[in-house]
Amino acid sequence: MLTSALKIVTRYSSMFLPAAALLTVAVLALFQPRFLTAENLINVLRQSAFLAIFALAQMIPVLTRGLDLSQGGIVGASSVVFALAASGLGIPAGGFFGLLVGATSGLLNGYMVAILRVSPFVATLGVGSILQGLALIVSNGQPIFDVPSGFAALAWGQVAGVPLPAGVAIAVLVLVHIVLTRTVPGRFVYAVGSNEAAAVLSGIPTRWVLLGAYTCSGILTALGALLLSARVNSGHPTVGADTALQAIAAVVIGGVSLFGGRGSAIGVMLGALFLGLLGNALNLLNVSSYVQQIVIGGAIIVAVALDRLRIRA
Amino acid sequence: MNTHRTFVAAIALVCAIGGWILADSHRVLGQAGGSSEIITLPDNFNVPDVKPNRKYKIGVLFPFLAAPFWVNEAYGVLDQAQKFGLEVNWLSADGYTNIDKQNSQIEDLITLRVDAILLAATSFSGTVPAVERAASAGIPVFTHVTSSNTPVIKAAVLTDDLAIGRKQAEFMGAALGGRGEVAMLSGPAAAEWSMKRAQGFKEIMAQKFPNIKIVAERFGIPDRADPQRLTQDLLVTFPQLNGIFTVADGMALGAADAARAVNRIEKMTITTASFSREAVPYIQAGYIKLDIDESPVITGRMVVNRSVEFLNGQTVPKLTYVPIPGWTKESLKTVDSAHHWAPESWKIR
Repeated sequence: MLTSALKIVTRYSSMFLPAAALLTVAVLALFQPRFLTAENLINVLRQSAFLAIFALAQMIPVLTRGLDLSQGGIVGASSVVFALAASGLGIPAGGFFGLLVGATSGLLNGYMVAILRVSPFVATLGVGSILQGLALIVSNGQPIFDVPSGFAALAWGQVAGVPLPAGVAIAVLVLVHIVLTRTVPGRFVYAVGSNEAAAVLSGIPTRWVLLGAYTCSGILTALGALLLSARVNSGHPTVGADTALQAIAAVVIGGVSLFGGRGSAIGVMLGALFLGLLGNALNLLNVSSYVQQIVIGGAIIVAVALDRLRIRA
Repeated sequence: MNTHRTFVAAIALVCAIGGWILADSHRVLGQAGGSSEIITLPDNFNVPDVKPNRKYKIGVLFPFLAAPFWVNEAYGVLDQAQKFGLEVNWLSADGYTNIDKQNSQIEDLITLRVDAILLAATSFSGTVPAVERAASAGIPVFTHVTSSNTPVIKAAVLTDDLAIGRKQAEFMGAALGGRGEVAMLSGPAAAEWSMKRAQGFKEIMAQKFPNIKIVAERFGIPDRADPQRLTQDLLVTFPQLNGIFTVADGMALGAADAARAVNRIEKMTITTASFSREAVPYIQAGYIKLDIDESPVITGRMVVNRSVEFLNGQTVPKLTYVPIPGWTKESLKTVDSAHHWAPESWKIR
């Protein structure tokens, strides 16, 4: 009987996320009339956008059977560099240097993983710690709030009613989706994640694929950091310290396998949206912060368990 | 080889840019907008009751709750709100670095159309846009313990963190006879409250006790384990160390444990703040020489009072500083626990 139940669960596991999201919406609509207002839905879009960008960034190394634990450090370092450079040179220049931090960090991660063959866990954890320390040194441990006017508008502005960060997240989604599904390098990412040895034998330049995967992850993380800095209207060395764990949660809930080779950008976006929705729901229902941690942890465990069941099936 | 060259070239470019930015990297915190309506409450202040005109709905935000200070402060807020019959939505950001989470919580409270938001900010500057959105939505925002750098705040009930640091320095300087080596355990990096305490300490040390050398400053979470480890290393590195400044007493407990383990507690002057129940045995034993009470219960009660007074239509002072009495082994005999701490059986719900 248990085997039959497991088979049913596995068969319909791909519907878990949409079903959970619908259930959340239904419960909220019933118990909290303010949930379905345009104001709140726009809030959810804006709040989820940052996590979506970080999750899409995290997705790429995860597809290669790695992960990027340096995201928190990249966010802090990019945030500080962005704010400092923006205050002296203007927002576009600040953005460029902020993204450069992400690109360099990603390149460093990729070099260690692809060339030096260091475990992604160790490599990215070390890089993240270094970046966090550098961010604190450069900022002297203080937030940089001397930023140009218009800085906050990057995160709080809207275009045709759509929050700017949500627009950026959608653009990132489209880009990542097209690259992963419609380009040769994108297919290589899946191949390396599925079976790196077979990919090597097939002539796929696996080192370049890994280097590219981590570099792209770094750049996208830095992009999210720029928007997050605008949201908090300052460069902050420790903002986003939990980014990596939250992003991994969204990636896993979105159906990307931690064992590599399987997952979609659209799934990751839905995973991020679901986490944003869940957080919003729990706040609007006045659920204690302590209980919220249990609920979110439970959702992650269910998602990982379903992933394992699918693999075994 | 091409890969290596490309990589090295990229790193060199970024180092060059980074060095240029580093040369222009110093920024200082601004100060909150001044106000002539500043009240400092006296020691042993008794918080009055205020009658609300109706059952107001308030949103209360905390940066962190897993620390005795915040539990006591939450008790002050929630008990006072319950006494007045208010409806409360409370949320915690679960970490001083979770600024965006707190911003999202402010947005959700706006959606819920609460009558007022009582905010203990994770960041002085990072919460400004969200707070201003709340104000634009017609929701008055009051800050407690830590504020937000915007003039839209209706009233703030704060701890004077600079004064806490200065008080500790005065005590330390006198206790060391104006001579010695001091280490600083300065709390979470980039948390404004801890930075101000450290700043206040350094100011007085530099001005009044030039022969006391600050040999080291370390940052960390204000719990017990990490500061214990840090102190162990400091005691080895600086054999003449005879003073430790800490921003919160969780850190002081860890530091004291480390000093006791190597029999250096007798000659060590440890000062701290927060005045939690846990610290009392250490103060009584003389391990902690000074613990400054941040009056969390008074803070919590007063911010509720200010919000109710405002919603009732009264004028409220812009800034209220709560009392910060210092407790030593001698003065501890007069402490009234109900005034300072949540009851032991009280649980946050």
